[in-house]
Amino acid sequence: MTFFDHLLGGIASGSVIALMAIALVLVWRSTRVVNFAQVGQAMFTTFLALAVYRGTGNWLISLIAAILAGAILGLIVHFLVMRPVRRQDGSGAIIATFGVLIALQASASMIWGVDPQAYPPIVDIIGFEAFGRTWPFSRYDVLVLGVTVLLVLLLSVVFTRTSLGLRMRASAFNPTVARLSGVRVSQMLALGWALAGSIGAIAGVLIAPTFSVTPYSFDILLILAFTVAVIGGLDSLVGAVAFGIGTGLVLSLVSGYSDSGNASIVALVLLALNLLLKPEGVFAHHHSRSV
Amino acid sequence: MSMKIPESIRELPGAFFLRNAIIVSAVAGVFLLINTQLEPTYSFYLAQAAMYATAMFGMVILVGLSGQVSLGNGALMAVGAYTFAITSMNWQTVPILGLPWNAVWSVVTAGLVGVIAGLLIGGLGARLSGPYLAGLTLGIAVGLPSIIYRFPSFLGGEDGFALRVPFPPGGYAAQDGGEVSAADAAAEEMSNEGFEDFLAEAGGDSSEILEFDQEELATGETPLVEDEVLEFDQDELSLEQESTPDLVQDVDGESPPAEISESEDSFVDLVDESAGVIDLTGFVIEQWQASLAVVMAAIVGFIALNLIRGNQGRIWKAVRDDPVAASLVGLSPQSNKVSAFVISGFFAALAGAVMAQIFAYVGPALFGLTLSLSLLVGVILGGRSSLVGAMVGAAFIVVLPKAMETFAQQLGWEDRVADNLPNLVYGLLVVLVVLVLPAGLVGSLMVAIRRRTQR
Amino acid sequence: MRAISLTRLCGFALAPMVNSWGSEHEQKMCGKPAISTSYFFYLRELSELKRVLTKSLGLTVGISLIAAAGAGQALAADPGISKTKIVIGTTQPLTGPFAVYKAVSDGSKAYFDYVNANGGINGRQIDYVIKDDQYADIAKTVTATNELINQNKVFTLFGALGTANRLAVAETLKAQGVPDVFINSGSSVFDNVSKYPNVFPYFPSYIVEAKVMAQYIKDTSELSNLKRCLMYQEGEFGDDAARGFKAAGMEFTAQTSFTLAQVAQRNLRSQVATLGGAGCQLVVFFGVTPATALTLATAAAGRFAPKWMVTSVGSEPAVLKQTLAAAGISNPLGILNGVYTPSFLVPGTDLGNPYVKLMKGITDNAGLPWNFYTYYGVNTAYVMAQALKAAGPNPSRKSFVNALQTQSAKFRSAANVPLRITNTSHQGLLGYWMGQYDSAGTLVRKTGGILVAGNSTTSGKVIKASYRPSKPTAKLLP
Repeated sequence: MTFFDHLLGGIASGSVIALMAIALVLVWRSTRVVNFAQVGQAMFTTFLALAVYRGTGNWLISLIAAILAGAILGLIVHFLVMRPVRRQDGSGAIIATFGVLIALQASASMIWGVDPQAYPPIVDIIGFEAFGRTWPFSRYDVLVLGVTVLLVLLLSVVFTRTSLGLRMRASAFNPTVARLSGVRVSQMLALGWALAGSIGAIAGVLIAPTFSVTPYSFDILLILAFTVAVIGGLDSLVGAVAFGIGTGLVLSLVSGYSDSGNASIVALVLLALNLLLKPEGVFAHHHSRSV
Repeated sequence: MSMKIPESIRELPGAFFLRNAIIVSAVAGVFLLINTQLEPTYSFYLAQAAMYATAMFGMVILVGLSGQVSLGNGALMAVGAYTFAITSMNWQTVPILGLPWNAVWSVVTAGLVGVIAGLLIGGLGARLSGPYLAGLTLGIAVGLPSIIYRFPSFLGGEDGFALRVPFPPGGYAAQDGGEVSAADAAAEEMSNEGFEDFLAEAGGDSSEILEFDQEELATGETPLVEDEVLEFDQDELSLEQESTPDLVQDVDGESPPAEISESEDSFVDLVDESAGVIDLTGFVIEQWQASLAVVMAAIVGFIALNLIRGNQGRIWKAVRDDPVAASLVGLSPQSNKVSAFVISGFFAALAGAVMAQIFAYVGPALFGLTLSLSLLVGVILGGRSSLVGAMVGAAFIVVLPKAMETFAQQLGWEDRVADNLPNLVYGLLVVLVVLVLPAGLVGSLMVAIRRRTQR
Repeated sequence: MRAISLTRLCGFALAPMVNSWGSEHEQKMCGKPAISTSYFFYLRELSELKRVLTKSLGLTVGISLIAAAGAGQALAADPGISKTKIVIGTTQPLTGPFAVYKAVSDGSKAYFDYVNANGGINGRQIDYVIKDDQYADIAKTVTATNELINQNKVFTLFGALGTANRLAVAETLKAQGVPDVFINSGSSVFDNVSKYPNVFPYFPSYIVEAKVMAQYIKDTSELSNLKRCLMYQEGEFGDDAARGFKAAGMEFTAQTSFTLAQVAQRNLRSQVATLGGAGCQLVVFFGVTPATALTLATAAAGRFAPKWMVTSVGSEPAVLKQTLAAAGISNPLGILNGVYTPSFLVPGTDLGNPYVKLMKGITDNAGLPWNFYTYYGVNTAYVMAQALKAAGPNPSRKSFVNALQTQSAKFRSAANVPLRITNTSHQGLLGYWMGQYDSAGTLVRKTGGILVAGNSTTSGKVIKASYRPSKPTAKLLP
């Protein structure tokens, strides 16, 4: 029984990682940049959504507010920071998004303070009862997992089946060729950032009930989501979700059956092994030029 | 005539090194001179800046010349710092040579272990491009503390090692070993005895008839077994403590009673004798720390200058700019990427050895992700392919937060705003410099000068 | 002190370092003619170089501290003391993920402001300098401490946070003779006067707490027969708790541990599943308050309902309630109901208590919330002010430390266990009373008496006692 508890707990915590990893993948797909500020943007929009929730008392309205705020914040970061920086190498862009993260966290600390704020869950977080016992998996966990899977399916359809998706992929993959083929590249890149911002915002609102809302409460997800996205192959939505949930499972089982302190070491070893065997990530679609 | 001689001198084999040595010594000399005139805290800032610069020289080679991203050089510093601490605490003699161990050997060992760590990470990362390498190095930086937690007796665990600076010939003494030494046991016994006396005093009068304070016990649900209970009364205790003859007080701050100043282990005594942190020459410990850090930075800077201006620097650049062309002329991109990691591991470990000495402490909380990111921020802001840029970047990450703190406090704004203002400005400045001066402060200045001279 | 007197015989080159960092090893070295460590030669040359430079270039020695080290040091006042002011310093997380703990220094600041408004201590105003170290970044702690000593010229440090943080600066503070008073750490390492003569903890170590918990469990019939399990935070919490329970001869059916990273990730499900799978009926918990909240919330979500006994530092009720609510628990009080926790202070909810009433008045006037952090901050500041006053009309570090070591029993506070500091033990508070939360979230005292242990050794028994504290001083002024 305990084994299934560890399993279910791992899936639930893994889907949270996967959700944030999706946003990272979207930004990477659109602009070939790893957005360290993603968790900061999600935190900021969750604070805004919380204010809306307190004002209206309507969870759905607060979610919509978060999605809009996420898109706008994504566009702001894109136009003010990333577009000018994009022509530089990776280090400059990483540092710039890192600067945005620090600035967002400092502003949030100034505006809302550091005490944890409650964002009530829309569904019950008490586990399901079945076979005469309570399982560590609730309607809330189903919601998070469901939204994660749904988003991936939806985004996959958009990217592979619609012309908009194709234009976005083309713009990111080879802007010059895309521009020559008549794609408005800058619009597509901006759209990518807005989309990623919205997904991050959804993630923020969804996980806020368990993570609570503070300027730093999503920090840990940055590291996990980034690692997961890298192993999965930064380009791959399916990879992000598969490895997000996989990582959740591994961490849960390791801390369940050995010492908790081993969990991060196992994660580190898995990261190194994966990159050693699959330097471009497991689910990478293409191989960039290598010598 | 006068034009020809320098030309021929420049072609002599040693001239290249000599010129670099003169440059480095001159720069280091200026800083050492400045150091003698600084207030202790500013010397400590200088020590830190020199320590960061030492690690950033490696980042210049890794990020600037060889074009790799690393978010994990803080972990390489940790490797150096821990090697330094552990060898100087535990090793008595140099293996094989049999010489007595001292701090220099610890520094050398730290550098060597840093080379090995750089080789490992570089080897793992050689096939990885930009973000994948960033992911690997980030994982290492974040995963490091959990490794330290895993081996508390060997690596000091969460609390780390406090070190005594400077070194006795056998190395540092551990301040916080896991084992209980004879002296500790004695001290504990002593405090145990004192406690028993104290209990005897408190319970001495009331051991036959125990009187509970009603108000106190009214709240309790579990009645206590009477004969095991002692009663303390604060008013009585303070009277007792006051009347205890050997605990004479020095309330009015005049000359202390003789028995206190003669007591062997009293803290009071220590305060008195070592109050001055300065000897007659006025050379304080912070200045010594800064000198140490500057000298290490100079040594590492000299190596870096020779590498960058020499053949290897051109090879790294060639591999970075066009790996295909480089491999066509027989330069292996992978081995040259690894060599950049090895060099940066070497430098970072030496910086870590300095860090262990200027902080007199080694622990996982020194080597968080912040450190690794600061190293990258510093090198990008200063100018990624210039050693001077690394120095400016090091000064930037040490001085800027301090300056902002002072500034924010003077504004008299609400605490919540004033406390977080330095972080906000730091974040915005990082973004701004990357946007406005993409080649970094020094790099952009050089570009501007070059343009002006070309015109 | 034998060690120090030897330094007087040492040569010129060694003097600066032995003065500032004196340790037995160096003293041994002084006696030997050959000093092999290269750095020592290097230093001598540098000192020499500086002297030459100073002479030849006619530079003035611009280091203001020199006066302090002059021959008249015995008469000169210690740093941080003037006719009108006492400067005391601290390092706290004012920003970053741990900034919630800032409330402690807010409380202390409110109390010192209150004392200042009422004439200060012997006519001196208290200048309480708070520096940000974010708690998790020890490089900041070391730098800020250096600034406090050299720039702010503090008389003493007070209430600084973090075990590793304190360890990192312990040697520096010792060498410079700066007392480190009422540190916020429950680690047992500081309960050691010979190693840390200038460090003064306030609350007892986790070892003492574990011993007290074990004693209470053994003595209480409704707990002693339950299947016991232990859940602890990796690091010092776990190490100390393990030592304490071992000393008390207490064993557990199952043990599980967690890391702070897992708390940040909001995932302690597998730990709770392990406890549930082992059929635990009483879970003893050692970890910080956010971890407690997450554990209780996770257990509630899985309908795992053993009896809980939580460490005092992990059971701040206001923060627990807030964090539980923020973790999606709709009835935080219901979850808190029945949780055991040891405590050393009068419950902050006991507004009839004269200490609580006066202290809450001070925080209310300062516009601060009333919770355990602000309460604890005011309380330690109150003890601190009494110690400063006890150091005499012209306090020196020596007389201050002496006052702490000889008059601690006099100091009044909201602690309802005795405070005992002597020249052989700096443990501070001696023990705990056991409490249990009721359905209103109020901590109800379960023991009329207290459980005390003499020190953090793995030997030494737990003794039952009672303690009647003195009444607060007039207007809560020192």
